[in-house]
Amino acid sequence: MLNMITIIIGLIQVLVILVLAPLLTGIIRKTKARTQKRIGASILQPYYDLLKLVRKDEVISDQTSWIFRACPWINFAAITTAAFFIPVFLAYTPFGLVGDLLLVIGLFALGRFFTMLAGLDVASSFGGLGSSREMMISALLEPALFLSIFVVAITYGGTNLSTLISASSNSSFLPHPQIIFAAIGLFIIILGETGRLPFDNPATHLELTMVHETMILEYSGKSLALMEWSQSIKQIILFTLMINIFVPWGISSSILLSTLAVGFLTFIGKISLFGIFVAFLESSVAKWRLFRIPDLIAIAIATSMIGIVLCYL
Amino acid sequence: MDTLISNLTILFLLLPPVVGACLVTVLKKKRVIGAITICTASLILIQVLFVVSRIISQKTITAFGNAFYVDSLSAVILLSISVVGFVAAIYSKNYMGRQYDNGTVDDKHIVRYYQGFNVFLLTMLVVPIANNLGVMWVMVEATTLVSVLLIMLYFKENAIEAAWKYLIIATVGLSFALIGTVFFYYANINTNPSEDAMNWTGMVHNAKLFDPNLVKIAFVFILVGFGTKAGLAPMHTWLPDAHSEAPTPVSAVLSGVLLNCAFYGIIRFHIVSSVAIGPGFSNQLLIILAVVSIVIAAASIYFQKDMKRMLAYSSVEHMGLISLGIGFGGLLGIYGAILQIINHALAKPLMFFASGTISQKYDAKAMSKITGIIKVMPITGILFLIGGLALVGMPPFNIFVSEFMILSSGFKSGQFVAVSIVILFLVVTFAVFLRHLIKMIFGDPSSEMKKSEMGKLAILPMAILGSLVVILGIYIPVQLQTLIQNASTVISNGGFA
Amino acid sequence: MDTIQFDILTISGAILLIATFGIVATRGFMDWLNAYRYQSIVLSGVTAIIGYVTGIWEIYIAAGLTLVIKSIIIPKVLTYVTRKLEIEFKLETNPYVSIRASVIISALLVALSYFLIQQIPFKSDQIVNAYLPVSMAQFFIGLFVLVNRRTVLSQVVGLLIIENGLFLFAMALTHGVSLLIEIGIFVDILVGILISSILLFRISRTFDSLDVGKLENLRDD
Repeated sequence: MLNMITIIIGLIQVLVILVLAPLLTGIIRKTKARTQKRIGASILQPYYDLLKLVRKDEVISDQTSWIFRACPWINFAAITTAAFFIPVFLAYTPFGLVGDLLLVIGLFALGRFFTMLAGLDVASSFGGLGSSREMMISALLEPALFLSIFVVAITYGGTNLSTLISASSNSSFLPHPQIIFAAIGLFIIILGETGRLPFDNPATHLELTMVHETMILEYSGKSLALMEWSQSIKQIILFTLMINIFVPWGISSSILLSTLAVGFLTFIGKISLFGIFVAFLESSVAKWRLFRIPDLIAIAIATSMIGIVLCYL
Repeated sequence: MDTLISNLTILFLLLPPVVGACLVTVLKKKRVIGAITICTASLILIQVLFVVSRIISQKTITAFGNAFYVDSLSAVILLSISVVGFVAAIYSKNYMGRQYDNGTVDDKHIVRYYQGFNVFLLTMLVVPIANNLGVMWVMVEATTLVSVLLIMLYFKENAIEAAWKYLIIATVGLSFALIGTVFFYYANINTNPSEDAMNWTGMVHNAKLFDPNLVKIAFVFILVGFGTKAGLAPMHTWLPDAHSEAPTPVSAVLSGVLLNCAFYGIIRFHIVSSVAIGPGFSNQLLIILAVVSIVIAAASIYFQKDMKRMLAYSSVEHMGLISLGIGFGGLLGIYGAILQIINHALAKPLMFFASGTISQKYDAKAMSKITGIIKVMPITGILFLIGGLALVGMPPFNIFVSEFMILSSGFKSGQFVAVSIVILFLVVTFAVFLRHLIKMIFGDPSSEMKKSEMGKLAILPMAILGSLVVILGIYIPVQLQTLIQNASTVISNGGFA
Repeated sequence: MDTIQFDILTISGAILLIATFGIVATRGFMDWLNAYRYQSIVLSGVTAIIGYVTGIWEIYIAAGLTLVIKSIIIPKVLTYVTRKLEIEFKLETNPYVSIRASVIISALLVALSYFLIQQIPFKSDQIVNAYLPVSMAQFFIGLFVLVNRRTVLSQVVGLLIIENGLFLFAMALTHGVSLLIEIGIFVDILVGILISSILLFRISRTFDSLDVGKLENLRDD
């Protein structure tokens, strides 16, 4: 019976992620618009966009292979599967038995791999350009990501997200010093993974600056809707990980309706605040030259390395 | 009554340079301030002679509570500071006057020079008499800052470059020394947390209880730190630049005395570490650095074209010899090292004064442009020759005696490898240095050179130093012997004579 | 109680390290100065914490002096100097080792200092455990900045980092050598900075450049 309830809650957590993902994108866009003295679209606009795209016809170049058509689905499937392993407002997920943080990263890599292939597959110069840039950034991001995850895993004892997050929610109010360094490193990496400034400008369509947008340039209709949705799910998953690992306060650790409600509300609050923070940050920095991006990643690697050193204090 | 006398002794030692600096700042007349500085320097000399005579009779002076502590070792350093300071003050008057006539410096520079000179003397005087090792460090750092100001007196590219390198390298080096000092302090308060913990007397007193590993690490830091300031290779890189670009009297003080002050720091901690873990460890390190210094100095002198830079490298060599003597240990080696401190402090300023006069006369520092000194300036030439022969260790001059003692103590203590390397490179230095020297002194001067000396005030300090160099080579006064004997006992006997 | 205290100590040490990294990762002199200012403010906070833990009142004075001299006076002096320099200095363009590599090297230096401190037999003490490796790391990173960067200004910054590391070292290990000596050290730094400012003016005027590579007239050849 208990098992049944946890599985239902687990499913609800997945649903929350899937449903709230476009909302987070909307919040970030709205905040950015406001900081730039624009009124901006409603925060529900990403939902309208998705609905509109779903209703539209799809145009597929006759130069493409099956990869191009399969990519949105593989991408979506990979990222949605990853969502099953993420504790959202309860510090536990019943699906955690099958996969841990490393699997989540692996699934993201799979999605990204197919996105890059699809970018190359259309044989337009833009797609290839975007793919090569993406490859460079992800090749650099990966070691940094693993280093910072090691710090977290060593501190909280394991890469399983359920144990990890319940350990972090039970630890003292003051985080361990290595966690500060891991947080800095992971924050930089997440900005890169979700394609935000200063790595990539998600709002641009200038061929010189865009990375992610070039790869999905040829998509339209339902496929585009899937790609965009997957991207926002990935974003909310990473943000959720960030807040649940580093600021786990308020997350529910038992299956009581009251604590669950508190957990849910604090989750909504924290994730919106985080989104607003990211939006402010994006408004205050410009996109960096592609070849300066390794500087930023070097900082992430360095802070994670210090974190590892501090683990063995 | 006795403490009152001690306090007054120290007070009158430190007062003249303070008053001198103030008077220079107030009066600002070119003629007067040179004379004032000579007065301060001679007052210091007299006071130091008084201190030395007291030290010979009663071995230690403690003043102002426990703040100042003078023993025979400090007295040796004080003696070298006061003698060199005195002759440099006399030489300064002539040298700066001549620079003023050239238009190299103006009134403002001269005031700044004499202010700096007085403060420089003050900071150097505090180093050997401060009991608190932290104060000693602060004062060594202060000597760096003041001497940087003196080096950058000239608004010349080379002087600025030398000053910058000196400032950066010496400050970084001394930061190592501070770490070492803190380590020693920590070792001391671990065993004996008392008011006395930072004082040298307190430290030597408890040194037997120190953690040996801590002492080893600490001494390495000290050696790197004060070794940088003392010009031991391979941390010597600032030395030739700074010594060659400074105004000549300052070069003489830097080379003859400041290096000794820094080396004094090493000796103090060497004593502590010898008491704590036996002399073997620090001796070994000192010998290694000494051999490296002598080898590098020999190689650099071989390739040298600039007269003052050659003298600077010779300083590296002599600091290496001093460190070698301390490292070989035994009464003979330490006696030789201390004698070497004094001898080098006499011979090197003599060479710098002579080379300053010569380069003013020839308007050049490159050795290839200087020929026939003996025909142009006979007295300076002879003094230059005496100093040079002394520096390479030719008998019957003073450095021969101390070098001989150091090397024979090396044989006595069985360090055959080190001694044979050192002798080999001393011979190289001997040959090369003499070749450079002979080329400059003999030969024909270019025709437009007029035969004339550069004034009595330039000759007088050189003559004083030259006669001391000759006399000490033949006969060491009994009082000086007692002083050096006591100082060697201080080093070999764990701080107490 | 003790674990919370230790957590506070280690976290303040970690913040100090982050401030140090701010200097390594940035290119502009004004960024360095700001990072140095933050570092000094954190340092004075750390000093005050040491004072609180040990209960020695003299340490509070040292903390106050740190705050006044290092976070107000020295940055002011250096800002003034850079404004007055005839050569405009904006960014460190070509250090010997690129910024990204130097960030990683600095992280390795931090690891090295933790390793070294473990080798040295110290009495187990919370303050020593928390701050000593941080101070060593600052010392090493300062040395690295000093040799890596090409401009004279960054050498000054390197010296300042080294000095902060030394101060923390003495504080953490011995809870402050006596106040008199600390004041002496502060005066030394202040005078050192003034002298190096004068030298900066002269270098910029005579060499028309702030590049350390230009300072190579004096050589043995």
